[in-house]
Amino acid sequence: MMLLFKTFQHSLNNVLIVRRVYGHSMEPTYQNGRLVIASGLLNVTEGKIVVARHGSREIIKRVSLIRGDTVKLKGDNSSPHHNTVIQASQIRGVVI
Amino acid sequence: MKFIKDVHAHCDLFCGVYDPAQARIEAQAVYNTIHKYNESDDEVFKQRCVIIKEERAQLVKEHLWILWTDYFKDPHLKKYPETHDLFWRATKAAGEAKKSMNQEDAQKLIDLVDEVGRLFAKTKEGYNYDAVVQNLSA
Repeated sequence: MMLLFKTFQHSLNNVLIVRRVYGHSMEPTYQNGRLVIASGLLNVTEGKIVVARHGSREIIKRVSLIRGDTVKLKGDNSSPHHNTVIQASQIRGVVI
Repeated sequence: MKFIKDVHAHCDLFCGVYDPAQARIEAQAVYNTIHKYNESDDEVFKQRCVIIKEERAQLVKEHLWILWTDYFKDPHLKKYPETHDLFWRATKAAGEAKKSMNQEDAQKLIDLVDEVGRLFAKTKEGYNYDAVVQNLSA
C-alpha cells in the first residue's frame, strides 16, 4: 500500500508540483509566501514563469529568452542585469 | 518532511537590494553638509563642503533613478499613479540641492525622498521606512 502511494506521489510530482514562494524577486506577480502550482506537462515559452532546479534548491523565475537548450530567467522584481542562465532540463514545470 | 517545499525567488547576485534608505542617507548628508558649510569660516573647509555636497546630491539622484526604473513596475504604477510625478519632483530637487547651498533646498529634498520612502513601504510588506528616518534623526 505504501509502495503504491509512493509511486502515485512520484507520478503526480511530475505532473503537478506545489511550492511556496520564498523571497521577493517575483513581486509584484508573486509575493513572498504565496503558494504556486506548476505543471511539468506544459510547454516552456518565453514570458512563462517556471520552477527550476538550481544547485541544491529550486527557483522561480520568468523565462526571458530561450536559445536551444539554454534558458535565460529573470525575476519580475530584479534589475535587468540580474539573469540566471540554466539548461532546459533543469525546468521542473511551468506555473499555472 | 515539509509537504509543500519552498521555491526561491531570489536573484543570482543580490536580492532585495532596493531600499530608499540609500537615497535618504545621502539626502541627509546633503543637508548636514550645507549646515556645516554655513557654520564655518574656513574657506578651504567650505570648498570641501561644496564638493562633498555635490557628490552626495548626485548619489541621491542615482539611488532614486534605480528605484524608479528598476524596482517600480507597471502594477505599482497602476496602483500608485503619482509615482512618476513624485520621482520626477524628487530627482529635480536633488538637482536643485546639487547647485544650492540653501538649507531649505536640502530640506525639500529630504521631504521628497521621504515621500518616495513611504510609497516604497506601501509596496513592500514588512518594510518600515519610518524606522529609517528615526535612525537618521537619532
